[in-house]
Amino acid sequence: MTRKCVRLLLLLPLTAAWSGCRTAPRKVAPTSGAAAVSPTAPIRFEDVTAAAGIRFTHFTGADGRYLLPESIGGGGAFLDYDADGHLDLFLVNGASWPDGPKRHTPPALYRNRGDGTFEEVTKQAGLNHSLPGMGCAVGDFDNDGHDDLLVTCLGPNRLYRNLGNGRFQDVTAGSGLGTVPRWSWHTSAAWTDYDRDGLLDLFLCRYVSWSPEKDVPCRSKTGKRTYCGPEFYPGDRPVLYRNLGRGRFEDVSARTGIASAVGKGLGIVPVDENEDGWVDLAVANDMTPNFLFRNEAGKRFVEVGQESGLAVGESGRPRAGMGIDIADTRNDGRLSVAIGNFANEGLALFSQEGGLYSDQAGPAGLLPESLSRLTFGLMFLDADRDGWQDLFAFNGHVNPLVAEEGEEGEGATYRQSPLLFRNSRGQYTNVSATAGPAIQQPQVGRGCAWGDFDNNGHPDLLLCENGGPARLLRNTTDDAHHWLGIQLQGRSSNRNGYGAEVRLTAGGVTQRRWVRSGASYLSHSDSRALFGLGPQASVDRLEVRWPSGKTTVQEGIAADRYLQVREP
Amino acid sequence: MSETPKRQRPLWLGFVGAVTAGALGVGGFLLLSKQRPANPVPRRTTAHEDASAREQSLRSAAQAAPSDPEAQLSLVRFLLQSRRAYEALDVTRAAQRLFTESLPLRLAHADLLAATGRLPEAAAELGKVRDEPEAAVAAAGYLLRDGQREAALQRLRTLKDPRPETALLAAQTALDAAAPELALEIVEPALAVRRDDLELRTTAGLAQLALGRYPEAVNTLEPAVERAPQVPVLRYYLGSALRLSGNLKRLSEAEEHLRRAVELAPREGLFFYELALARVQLRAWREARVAMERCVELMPELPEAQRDLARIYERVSPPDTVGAGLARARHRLLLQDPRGAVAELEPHHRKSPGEAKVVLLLALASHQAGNTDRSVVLLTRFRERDPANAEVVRELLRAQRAAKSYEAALHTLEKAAPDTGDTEILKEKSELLQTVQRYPEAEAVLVRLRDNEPENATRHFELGLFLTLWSRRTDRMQAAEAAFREALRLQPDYVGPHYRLGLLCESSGRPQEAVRHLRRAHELAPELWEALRPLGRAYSRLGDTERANDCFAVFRRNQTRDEERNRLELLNTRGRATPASRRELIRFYLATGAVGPALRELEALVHFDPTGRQSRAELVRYFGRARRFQRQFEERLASRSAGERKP
Repeated sequence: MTRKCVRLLLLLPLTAAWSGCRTAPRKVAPTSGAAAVSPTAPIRFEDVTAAAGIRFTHFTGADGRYLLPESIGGGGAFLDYDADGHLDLFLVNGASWPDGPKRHTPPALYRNRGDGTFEEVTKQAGLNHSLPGMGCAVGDFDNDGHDDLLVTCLGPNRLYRNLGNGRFQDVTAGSGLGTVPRWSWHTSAAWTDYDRDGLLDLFLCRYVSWSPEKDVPCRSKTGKRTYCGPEFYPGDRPVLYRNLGRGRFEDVSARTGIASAVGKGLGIVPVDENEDGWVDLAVANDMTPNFLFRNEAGKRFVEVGQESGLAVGESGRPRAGMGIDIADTRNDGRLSVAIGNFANEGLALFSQEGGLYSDQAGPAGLLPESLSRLTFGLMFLDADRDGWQDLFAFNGHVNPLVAEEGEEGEGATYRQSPLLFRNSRGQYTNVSATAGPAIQQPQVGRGCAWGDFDNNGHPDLLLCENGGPARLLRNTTDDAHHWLGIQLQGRSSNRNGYGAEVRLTAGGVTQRRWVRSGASYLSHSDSRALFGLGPQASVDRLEVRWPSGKTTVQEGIAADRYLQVREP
Repeated sequence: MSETPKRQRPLWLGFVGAVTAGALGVGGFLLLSKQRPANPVPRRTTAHEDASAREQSLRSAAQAAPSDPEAQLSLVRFLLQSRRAYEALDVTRAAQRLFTESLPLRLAHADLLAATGRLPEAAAELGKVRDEPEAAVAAAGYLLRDGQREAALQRLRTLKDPRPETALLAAQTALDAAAPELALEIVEPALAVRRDDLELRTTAGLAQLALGRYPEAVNTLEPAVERAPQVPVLRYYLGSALRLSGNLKRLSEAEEHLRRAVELAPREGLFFYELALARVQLRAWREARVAMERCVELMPELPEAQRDLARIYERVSPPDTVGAGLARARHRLLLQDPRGAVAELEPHHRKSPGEAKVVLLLALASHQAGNTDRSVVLLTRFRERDPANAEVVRELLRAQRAAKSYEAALHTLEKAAPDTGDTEILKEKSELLQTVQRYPEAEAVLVRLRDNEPENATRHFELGLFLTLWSRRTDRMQAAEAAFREALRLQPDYVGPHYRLGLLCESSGRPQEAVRHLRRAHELAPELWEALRPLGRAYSRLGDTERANDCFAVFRRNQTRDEERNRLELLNTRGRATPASRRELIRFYLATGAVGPALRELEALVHFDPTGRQSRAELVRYFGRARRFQRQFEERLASRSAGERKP
């Protein structure tokens, strides 16, 4: 055997494939208490797109040249732009190439009428212009009580200030966000107050160093033109903008150490991972090691992906990280970070253990099903409100010719159905097959978000297909579980309360949620913290740890409603 | 301290030493006596027991005299020689201040850092020493191995009055870095002082050859050959210099030296190549063909040989002969031009569809050109005609695997060798079964292989690896661990089981044991930098943050470089290479010290862009006019490394 073969053999990933055997979980989650699993009906989702009046088809920009950016967009958001208590929808769109045939392809804003239907208000809102959009992030950057909107783009991003009268104003020009290289490729973004000054700062992932001139003309083995992967391009540096107030931002990437890390960023989730009161940043990178930027008292960030174990899986090789989310999946106080990967790589579920992260996707039950999928959007949500965070993976291949090429084995397809894993005390079971036809619908999945658009305590889904229709899936799970939704309003902290941790105790079990923007892929989910309570009709204790360091505690709270908590 | 290992020497001497060893036998040539012992592997024999006793005595001495530099150095060198660099590092850590007191101690410490993959740190350690040429040369060597070619050359340029021994090492390092001019600049003053030094002379001659200064090379090398007429490599250099010097009167002399060289070293393909060229110049075409065919046989990967064999065929027989076509096609394949190879072969295949060599090469070229299906069709048809042709079966299997036709490959395998006990076929079968996820059958095959050879550590390792890869059930992981332990019992220095066992221990909460195995894996195979990640994790779990961070830093550095190399290679290996993409890769190779690959890419660039002045100029700039001399050492290095690391 040659040295190279031995080396390859040595480095084969332990989790690269899966025999179907399963080891017992390392730690057994609590088995008693109110949020312990109670008998529950199957999780179900129903496609209500048409009935809700959503008619949006994503435009990738494709004009036959197979330019890489066409393959990875786009995202969407649940946001309450008119502050009427009903979540509206924003859908990012791509644009024609500057030297290609022109099409008017604006993004779309749909206002929730509150009766299960939506009306398109893109024009009225002042958003009716084409952008080479990728994703979006929602946050009240000026603390005026109206959620503003950032659209990430190939090239300069757009910042839209919510004027509070149903209109957005493009304030990019004066903000300091618009001065970026022509083809800077921004993907996911997150608003986060890294220095705890009460103003939301902005973190942006950048993908690869690309331009139409640098695009590599890849062909399939049958000679057809197709998209190249990111491995053909050098990575890029993420960006951190500090909010200076009055609509001005300053690029502090170099000063804070963020720019010292080169990767191929696609997903970002801010979370105070080491619980020191300063929000850290976990970044999913595509084919380069994931980052964990540890926040050192708001002064600088140190990238500790390798040191923490989040950078790579057991093989030591980077995977194709895309969507990312965090949760306390075992309700034991330990954080888990889920990352969507390429086909045959499987989902990653990095769980804290002894201060280090280890990929526990296999033991947790996320393999082997996820091996066959290429996952972009990925998010935790308690779909059946049993108190355990389920996991939704939105999938779709990047190579339109994958089926005919057979590169990823038999059965690999361009359009792929999503995966829904139900959490039972930290162990996941694939329940996609029983979740209804909407979940089994193959799509070219990219961005996805969850939000309770009908305010019934069930998280619903917004799915954004690359070059396809956006879908709104209503959660129709017929469970009898209770729930509680928390909407934060910061005072000395940022108004959205991003960065706050909400701890809810019911029946002896404590669940945690982190209120934040970012997570999943290119998208923004409901900013409210939504808890399933299982059979518990009330909450024993609710604790909010604000970014400012203040704490709010409430006890004996009745369930099945949204509760607004103001920072003291 | 007679067993004290010498400092790591550049590969040039490895080659010279190896060739001379063959010619002169043990204890022969002076060059050989200075070589570092190749891969001392402790065995479970009396020698091993002797080594244990020696270690014990060295340890006792070091413990008894913790501030005695000699005692500490002896122990460190012993451990380093036994490829236990991490243990040696522990010794230097314990006596840190001591190891900065003198140059030999610093050099030893730097060697340890280098042996554990900390090459920049090793160079930095020596950078603290001023005005010591030996330190500067050693640092340059580390920098070069770390891929910092320019920094390495900078160190060499600033050498002040090196002793001849140091000058020799410096010149050889410069040659390794494809900087023959600098090598000559360094070695010439030393040669003026020691005119009889064979190593200095050989190095100078080689630099002159690479620079195209052939008459000077002849003058330098002739006295060397007179002094050591039985050293084939000297004959080879001199013969080459004579041939290339353009002195037609001395061509016969050149041929004579080269003929003698191949007699003395009949397995050296490049010697045959040079001999063939001399014969071409002498118009001895048939003799040239014999020599070139032998060269191609010994070095099928040498593009010039394939190209020149095709030319010779055209001289000795009509150009449309199969042999000429095959040679031209092979040449094109070596220059990464598979479409060109297909075009060369198609007419021959149409004319003689039963010619096995044509079919095999056409299948390979079709596959490389992206037409794997054609490759499979060609081989399948041919196999039907000639089912007993093992080479065709092998190629068909390879093509079927490349085409992801795994079930078809299994069918081929079963048809070709039903229920065979042959190890290679069983291994192939197991791999295919794993690919198609028929794990129980694959495991049964691996168990059978192990039972066939219970004393073969590799069989245990393969089974253990299978169990860790395809199953994470607790009892199976225990079985895997047992298999790795058995492999290590049979072969204590087997890298694979150390690495895998280290991973298992790390992930199952046994950091102490993980550290032991991972350190061993890494010191046995320093190129396995991936071991540093789990090693860092294990240190983290043990609370040793300093060591953990050190491991992560080295891991991160290697990973970043690996990513960039992969990206650039990918751009050039999917048939979409452009001159710009090739140049980018060449720049990367040169900047990171991968001289051999840079040479290959430059040659390919010249092939695709024959009128490109820039490419030709770069080729000459970096590799001189006779670049195969550079290649020779690169290949020697590769084969030596492969031999060293083979578990």
